[in-house]
Parts: sequence; structure tokens; C-alpha cells
Amino acid sequence: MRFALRLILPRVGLAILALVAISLITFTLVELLPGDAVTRVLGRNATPEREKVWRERMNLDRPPVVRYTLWFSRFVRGDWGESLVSARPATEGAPGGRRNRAVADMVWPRLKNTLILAGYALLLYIPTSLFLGIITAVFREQRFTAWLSALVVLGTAVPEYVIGILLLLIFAITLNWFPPLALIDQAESTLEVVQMLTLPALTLAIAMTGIAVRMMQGSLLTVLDSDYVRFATLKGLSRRRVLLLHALPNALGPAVRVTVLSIVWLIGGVVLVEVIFTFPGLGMLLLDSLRLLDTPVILAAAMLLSSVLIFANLAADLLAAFLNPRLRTD
Amino acid sequence: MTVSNEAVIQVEDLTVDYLDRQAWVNVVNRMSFSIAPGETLGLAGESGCGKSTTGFALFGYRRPGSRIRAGSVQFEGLDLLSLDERALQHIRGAEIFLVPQNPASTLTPSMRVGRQVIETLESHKISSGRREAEERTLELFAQVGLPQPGEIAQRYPHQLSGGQQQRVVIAIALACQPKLVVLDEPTTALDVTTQARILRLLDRLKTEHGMSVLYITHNLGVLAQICNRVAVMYAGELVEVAPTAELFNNPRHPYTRGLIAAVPRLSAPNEDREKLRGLLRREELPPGCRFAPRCNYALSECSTQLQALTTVGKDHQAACWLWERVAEEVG
Ligand SMILES: Nc1ncnc2c1ncn2[C@@H]1O[C@H](COP(=O)(O)OP(=O)(O)O)[C@@H](O)[C@H]1O
Ligand code: SF4
Ligand SMILES: [Mg+2]
Repeated sequence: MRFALRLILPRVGLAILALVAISLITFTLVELLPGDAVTRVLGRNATPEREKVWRERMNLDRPPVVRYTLWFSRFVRGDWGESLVSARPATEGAPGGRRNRAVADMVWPRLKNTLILAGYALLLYIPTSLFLGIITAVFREQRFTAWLSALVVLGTAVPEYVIGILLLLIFAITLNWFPPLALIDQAESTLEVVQMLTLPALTLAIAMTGIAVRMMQGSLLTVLDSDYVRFATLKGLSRRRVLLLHALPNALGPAVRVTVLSIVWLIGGVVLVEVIFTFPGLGMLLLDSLRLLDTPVILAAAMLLSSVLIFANLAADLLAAFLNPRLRTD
Repeated sequence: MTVSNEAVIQVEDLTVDYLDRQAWVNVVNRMSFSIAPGETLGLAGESGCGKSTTGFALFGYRRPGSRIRAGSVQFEGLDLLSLDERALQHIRGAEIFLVPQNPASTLTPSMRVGRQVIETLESHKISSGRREAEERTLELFAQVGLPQPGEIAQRYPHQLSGGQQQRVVIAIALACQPKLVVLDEPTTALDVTTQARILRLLDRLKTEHGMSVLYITHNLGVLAQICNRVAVMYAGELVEVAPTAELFNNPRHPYTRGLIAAVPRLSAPNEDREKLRGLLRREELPPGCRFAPRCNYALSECSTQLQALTTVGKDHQAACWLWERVAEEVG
């Protein structure tokens, strides 16, 4: 347990620093964009008087440093503030005066959706790439491996949106097997949710398989070329025994690491896929609120996405460490 | 020690290439040698000259990304280079055993060392039943001088010192009682004291069990003490083979002279002529004598004139057409 703490503590410190930096950078970038939430909301109806009233109401008349400090001090205490733009649903409307939606209420359900989509994609591509990675590494000198590798490279080379649009055209529009929009919040049954999720998840999975296979293959090849695998072979053990007891257990650590690390790419891809399939995830929310320059929502979404990435990295390191007897038994 | 004429293993014309950026590069070229029962043959040459590649071929093994283009390895009436994996399994370990260079990377990190001995015993049906294999493992550990065998068996490789790791490897070799052991620089990765201990252990076991040994090293000095014969290799080819005393007293190939000059204890102080210069560059090998670019005796014909081992004395062969001149000049 001591080594786990030694591993975790410094990283958690770094993660917190990174998150603070990300919030600062995000805030600055949004400030640098032309206009603010008021000009975006009022659009052509803007008059200087109206803008002034709205800015005061949104606290946008304060200098940026004050606004960031205010946001930060409330954020760390768990108060993520309210959207500048989105109104609370009528039923919840506070009597007397306009109240906006709480950022937390907007962000968490979207994160849940994104994680469900990512999880589904993970379920599709991890077993596939584990299998393909082992096959291509073990049979690297066979001809079919070259073909398989070429196919995998092709899968990586085609961008997500091309895969997504192709799948949409074939399976949703032409064949009508799946709905073209993944509006899972409006689904009426679990089956419908799964149906809606399948095409976006498949798109992600296809894009991810290439990366994951190559990482798995790489980690297994390193092990297969190691001195200890050669020694096990030259001791006269069977191929099966060498593979199952000497190679695979030692490739497992790196493979797990690779899997968890691939989540970083996955999250990047999710944002794009959400847009293609109009999926109500965190990526869509981030994009929508960027359009409206809704700073509190942007910041919260950015912090959540970054936290997922940082957590994935941390989990990858920890898992790899636990699977390594060198670290486990010290 | 009696050295009979019937060879334990006979390598003929061994030629190995490896794939480097889509092109085959030669790494071992037409190597032929044999080892007699009970004999210790030293194989010396600079790092990268193809010693390990040659050693692996004795197991019918090639590294991934390489090919055995030609040759045969005769062992007990079989050509190991034409056997399939399944047939090789029974010979590898049981009849021919490898002690690799770096004990720290030889044992599987995820497996307790005791298990790594037991699985070998079981694979070759050396002991019947798990209990017997376990007891045998502890005996073996004691024989190779590992303290507290029971406790060591439970450890993972990284929890042992380099010397202990190599003792575990040697214990596995002992268990198998092979006819031939290939020692691929077995002490290079160890500190000097441990080196000496492991060498003594190996020597004792060799005498007790009468095995043949191929001792691979880049350090000629080590071979002087333990080998019956020495083979010197340059850029994938044998350049000189002779009984140990003969080789050190009358080296005929300029490369051998250079190697000997590089060993402080063996060389006279003023042998500048013999000093090896430059490095082996595999991309720039001439079609003739591969040593020509670095040879102090070379004539212009050398780089086009193909060299092969010829007899230059009793049981003594060298691959230099100018060997007589070389011998004369040095006196
Ligand atoms: N796949 C391969 N199989 C065999 N040799 C290779 C391979 N890839 C590279 N080589 C090269 O072959 C040469 C011979 O290696 P090796 O037999 O290990 O030499 P030594 O044991 O004498 O140091 C080295 O220069 C090495 O880089
Ligand atoms: S053949 Fe020529 S180059 Fe080669 S070792 Fe002899 S003298 Fe040197
Ligand atoms: Mg070597």
C-alpha cells in the first residue's frame, strides 16, 4: 500500500495544478473571443442600454480578474454557478424574476451520457484489439498478418467523421436499421437507447481499434523479443506454455496501460462523434456553450473532460504498477 | 580430460541473415566447427560479430526477423535446422542448454524462480510429480550454492542478486544434465568477484558431469584458462581455430593478434602494430577478406581475395592468405 501512496500522491498534486492551469487557459481563451454572452444572446436586438442592463445582471461588467477569482473561489467550494444563458425549466422557475439553470445540473447528465457512449465503444474495441494485437504479434511472420496490419492501418487513417457519415448513410439512412439521431434522452426503452448508441459507439470503436491494436501489438512484441521468452523457449517449453505463462502475463501490464491510455484518444473522438450523431453528451454541450460564450458552462465542461483524461492517466499508471511484481512485492 | 573424435555437435556452413529495412543483411557466413564430447570450445570476437546468433543456431533457433539461409547443425544424427518446433522442444533444454548473457533479463519477471525450475523438470519429465520436482529444485539450489533454497524458490527474479539469478539458471542446466551447454558471455553482466565464483562453479560442474561447452565471449583472456580450443570470429566468419595454447603462442591471423594484444596480461608491452583500430562496420564489408579495412598487414588484393580457413599447423587453421608472412614478420 505504501508504494501506491508514493505513486498516487505526487500525481494528484500535479493533476490539481494541471486543472487550475486548464481553467485559467480556458477562461482566457473565451475572453479573447470577440463578443460575450450578452452580444450572443441579444444578437440584432442589442442596444447599448439593453446590453448594459444584461451585463450587470450577468456580472459581466466586472473586470475579468475579478470574475475569474469569483468563479474559482465558488467552484472549489462546489458551487459551479449558473449558466449565463440557459433558463431554468418553467416548473422550477423561482417566483419573481428570471433564474438560470445551475451549471451542475447541465453538466453531470451530459457527462453520464458521454461516459456511457465511451464505455460502449470501449466494450467493442478492447476485446477486438486485444485479440488482433495478440494474433498479429504471435504470427508476425505469416502473410495474413501483413494483410491484417494493413487493414488496421487503414482503419486508423480514415478520420472519425468519414467513418461516422459512412455508417450513418449505410445503416441509418439506406438500411434503416438504426436511428440517425442519437437523442438518448428521448428514448423510451433501454433497447432504444442501445440502438441509438450503436452507430456512434461503432464509429468510435473503428477509429480506436487501429490505435489500440498497434499499442497492444507493440507491447507484446517487446515481450516476445525479450531474453526471458527466448530462454523459456530454449529451455524446451512448448510454444503454448511460453506464450501463456511467460509472454502474456508480462504483456498484460503494458496492455492494460495502453487500454486505459487509449481513453484519452477516445474522449477526443467522442466530441466529434457526438456532433455527427447529435448526441447529448459533454462534447455537444461544450460546443453549444462555446457558441454562446457561456463561460461557467464552458469551464465546468472543460474541467470535467480534463478530469476524465487525468484520471485515465493515473489509473493507467496504477494498474500497470499493480500488475508488475517488481513494484508489487517491494 | 579425454576428448574423443566423435563430435557432439557439428556445424556445417551455417549462414544467417537478418532483415534490416526490407533488405537481408548477412550476420553469420559459412561457419563450420564441431565440439567433441567433454570439450570446451571458446568462441571469441568483438561484440556484434554474430556470436550469439551462432550460439542460438545450435538450438535450431533464429531470432525473429532473421533467417537461416544455409547450413546444417548435426546433433545425434539429426539436422536441428530441419526439425520442427515440436521435435526441437525435446532437444532444447534437455540435451543442449543455454546460459545467456544477462541473468537480470533471463528469468521471467512474473514467475517465482522455483516455478521456473519446476516447469523445466516437468516439461522434460525429469522428475515424476510436483512433490518430487519441488524437492529436486531445492537440492539443485543447494548444489549451486544458493543459501536458504526454500526461501529463494519463493522469490521473484528481481528479488535476487545478479549472481543468484545466474545460479538459478545454472541450477536449471544441472537439472537437465545436457550433453552440451552454450555459455553466452555468462559472466559479462556480473561484478568481478561474482564472475570468478560463477566461473569456478561452471568449471566444477563441467568436470563433474562431463558436458561439452561452447563458451562465447568477447574477452579472449577468459578463454585462456578454461578452453581446450578457441575459435575466433570476425564479422560473421571464422578467421582462426586452434588449441588454446597454440592459439595464444602462435596466432596466425592478424585479427587474432589484435585481440590478444588487447588483453593486458597476455600481450607484450610494445605491440603497436597489432593494436586493433576502428570498429566493425557491417555496411562496409569488402567482397574479399572482411577484415581488410582494419588490417595492419593488408595488401590491396586482400579486399577482393576471398579467404577461407586453411591449415597452418597441427589442428590449427586460419583464414589469411598472408599468414606465413605475418608469422615471419613477427618472428
Ligand atoms: N533479428 C536479428 N537477428 C540476428 N541478428 C540481428 C537481428 N537484428 C539485428 N541483428 C544484428 O546482428 C549482429 C550480430 O548480433 P549477435 O549475434 O548478437 O552478436 P554478438 O553476440 O557477437 O554480440 C548485431 O550487429 C545485431 O545488431
Ligand atoms: S587476408 Fe589480408 S586483410 Fe585479411 S587478414 Fe590477411 S592480411 Fe589482413
Ligand atoms: Mg551476444
